[in-house]
Amino acid sequence: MKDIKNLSEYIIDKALKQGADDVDVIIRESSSSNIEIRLGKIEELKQANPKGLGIRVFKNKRKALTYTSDLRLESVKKLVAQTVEMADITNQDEFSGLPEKELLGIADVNLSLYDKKLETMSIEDKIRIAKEVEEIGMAQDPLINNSSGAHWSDSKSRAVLANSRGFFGEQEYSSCYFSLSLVAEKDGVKQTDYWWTSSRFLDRLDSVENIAKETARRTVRKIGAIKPKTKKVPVVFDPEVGKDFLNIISSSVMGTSIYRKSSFLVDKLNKQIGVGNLTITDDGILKDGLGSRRFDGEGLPSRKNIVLDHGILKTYLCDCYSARKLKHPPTGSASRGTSSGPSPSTTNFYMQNGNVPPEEIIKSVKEGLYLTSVHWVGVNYVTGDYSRGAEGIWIENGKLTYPVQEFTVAGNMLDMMKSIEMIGNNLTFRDSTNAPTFLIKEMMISGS
Amino acid sequence: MKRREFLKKSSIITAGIASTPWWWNACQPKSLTKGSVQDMEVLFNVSKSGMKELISYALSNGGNHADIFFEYRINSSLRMEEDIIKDASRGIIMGMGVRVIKGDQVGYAHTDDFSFDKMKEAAMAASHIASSLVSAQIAPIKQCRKKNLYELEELSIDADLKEKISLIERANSAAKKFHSKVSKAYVSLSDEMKQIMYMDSDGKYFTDVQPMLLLRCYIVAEDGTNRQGASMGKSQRTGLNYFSEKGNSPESIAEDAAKIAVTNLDAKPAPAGPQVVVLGPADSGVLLHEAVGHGLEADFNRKGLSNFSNRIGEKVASEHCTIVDSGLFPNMRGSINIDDEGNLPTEAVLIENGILKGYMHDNISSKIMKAQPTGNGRRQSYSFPPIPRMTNTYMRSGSYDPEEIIKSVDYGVYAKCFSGGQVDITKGDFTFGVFEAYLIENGKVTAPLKDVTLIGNGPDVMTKVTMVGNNMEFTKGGWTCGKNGQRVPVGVGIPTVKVSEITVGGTKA
Repeated sequence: MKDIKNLSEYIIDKALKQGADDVDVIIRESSSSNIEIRLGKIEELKQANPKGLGIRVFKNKRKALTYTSDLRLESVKKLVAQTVEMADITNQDEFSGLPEKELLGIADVNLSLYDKKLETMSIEDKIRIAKEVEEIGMAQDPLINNSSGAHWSDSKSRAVLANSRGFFGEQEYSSCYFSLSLVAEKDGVKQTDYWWTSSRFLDRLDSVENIAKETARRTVRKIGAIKPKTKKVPVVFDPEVGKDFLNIISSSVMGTSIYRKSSFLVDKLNKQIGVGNLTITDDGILKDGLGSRRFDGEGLPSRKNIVLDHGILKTYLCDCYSARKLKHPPTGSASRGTSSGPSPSTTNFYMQNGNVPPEEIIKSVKEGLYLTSVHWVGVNYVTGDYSRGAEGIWIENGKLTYPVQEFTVAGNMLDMMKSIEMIGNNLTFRDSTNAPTFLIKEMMISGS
Repeated sequence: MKRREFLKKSSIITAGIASTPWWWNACQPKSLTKGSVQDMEVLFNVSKSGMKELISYALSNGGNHADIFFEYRINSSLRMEEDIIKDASRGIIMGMGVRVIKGDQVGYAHTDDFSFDKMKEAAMAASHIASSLVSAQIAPIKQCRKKNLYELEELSIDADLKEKISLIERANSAAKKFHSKVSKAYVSLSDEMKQIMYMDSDGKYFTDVQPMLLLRCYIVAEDGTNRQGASMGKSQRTGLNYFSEKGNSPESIAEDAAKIAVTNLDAKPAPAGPQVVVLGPADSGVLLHEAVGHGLEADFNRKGLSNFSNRIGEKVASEHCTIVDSGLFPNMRGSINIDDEGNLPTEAVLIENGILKGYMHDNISSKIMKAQPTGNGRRQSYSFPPIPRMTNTYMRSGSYDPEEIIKSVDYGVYAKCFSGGQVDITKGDFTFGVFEAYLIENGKVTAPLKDVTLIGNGPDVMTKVTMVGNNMEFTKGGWTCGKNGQRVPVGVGIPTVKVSEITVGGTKA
């Protein structure tokens, strides 16, 4: 850690001496392993220790960015000179620059983001988990006749962010994950699905048994799927698809999308855009949250932002650049990779729990769709028009009946947010974006 | 333990006998270090005998095959927004990956540290996929790259940044001039030089310098509160002079995007439900890529995970369809001089007159399935092992005049430009986003349609192809394909094609 701290100081010093007004540096070192098991055999075993650094230089309101995986001092020295030189060819931009000094800081919270246990976990133990989850999953149902594999991955990283206005932040974080993907077949038609668990801490991963059973359940329930009729029906969003719905909202509240006018939420600040019980939060300091951190990608302290408060849009999520463009208060939402500049993103983004048990939501629907999966194409972020390839289960008289596939479900995001009729009480934080089950009054199904 | 040590040493001795073959000097590229191009052995401080030694370490636990892959990549990007160059970036990435194969099992490790010890550590980490006493022998090395499909006077990565900025400015002002309703233009020029060096235990050795250039325009048109965006780009393995060629000017790229954005301001919602769909030439090849291409990659087939598994010789598409994957076209985005495990690209016929002929292979699948290698073993970078990937996937021309195809449709959708697609390989269900589409009424292309989504089942759609035009065309767009977390550049191509039924998504019944 000391090495990368010294390197960051060296780069800042060197760049300032060569004519930069301001500079920031991000350096990351990690080690990771990936294991793919299929039908009881190791298919791929991968180990790596990648590292990288990114330098951003500001000079007379112009900026340039460079990055490299080559951390040798001689190479870095050359790169710093190139970065300072490159800044001259860009145009002056009054909104660009590092955060004002008084905005910089680290949130005073105790977040545990690193699991020491992963350092000593043996590769054999990781292989065993992946083998077991597949073996148990395959045994769940006679219709399951193949596996697309079980996957284990983990990584441990250290990152440093430092800038010429005195900010220095360092963070160690870890993650681990395993998943299973199975194939079931009936009458010559194959179906596949997957399930996974992910955490910063080994002990907080879901059990092998649960992941195996859930994968099998999700795969087998797709057997016998038919194409539904083209018609308008109520749609129940499974939490997995609810997550996707929230991702569309989060992309559209980013300051960058707003000043570029590439969002359907332009000019909607402080307006009622959702039903009264729709509250959406982005919480960067949520205890045990997968997206939690103590400082953002520009060195602002992490914080909790209520984005939608009882249906009213309260804030956009900004990095410093988009905040200045929009004259919006900063929200500590910048994220930063080594090979790109800061841009706003979510931390732990979630829809607040409602009070209806999910079974009751399904029970309330006479005829409709329980939406379990959507393809990523088919959203127009500029207009909010939504028309996605989808999969689900048809609901008749309040009961889940047969699976449906090969259709689209369509609406407009603004209409959809205003026609959420029920929100479930089943919010869990298994990912960094999370939603409970919810019901949208009516959407267009296009099938046969 | 002693026995293992011995075997390890013995295999290293085998490795040590590398002698320079007679043809060696003749096969070296003429200018080794032109512009940014480096001598890879100097850059990574490793000789051919050092590489052989690393391969021996990789095989020391009993692998059947080992390969090492060195990569040196420079990326550069310039971006204009609100009429100013806001961002300039340059990245230098270098690293080394080592793969060991035992049957169908792969051990992989990569490092961006180039001391011999660190590279040896990576080789040893990868070696542990195998645990047997018998290791493969290392064959004498042979240069295996043949021709250069992307030879350039000057790499764009070495061009003056001012020259690149002027191309961006030309696109930007053309977009603004195109129509008063054009309110925003975003133009970016990104380019890459990827230099690779490969050696394996079969003795295959090659180096390659792979250029890539992409100019992209995203245009927003506004009319009161009505807003529409459209994006167009052109990408090739080529130099900046590409934009001086007829039909490739930065102005034309910007105007094409602006035209769609402005047209879509008056577009109406698509009619939902099953429709006759005519696919326009070039870009609609995305449908082939998703609907059949992925399903014909051999890894999914050898594992029995694809819709097309064990179906060679069967009729899987209408007799009008002949579908090919070829990495052999000069300068095209999906073309490669050699794949990332030493096989030459081929013209792989996948489906001929509707009959399934073969799959796209990497080394592992061609060995297991006892098929000829097709040159489709590709990887995103040194961080990944190669897997079967498409290069340029296209449908050969048929006999119909494209006008005749449109005329044959009473009511349907004409799909021209695609924003992307996705497929579930196992069942074959796909979705596409179309951002330029029109209604066909009484044999004529009429009103523009917005937000068209097409959904269907790959094998099913291919049986519904009823007319194929005589106007096969390749896309010039910058398509990137994602699979198993790896992104590679690809090309697609298709003539005008009529499909008797695809489900069109939308809100209007």
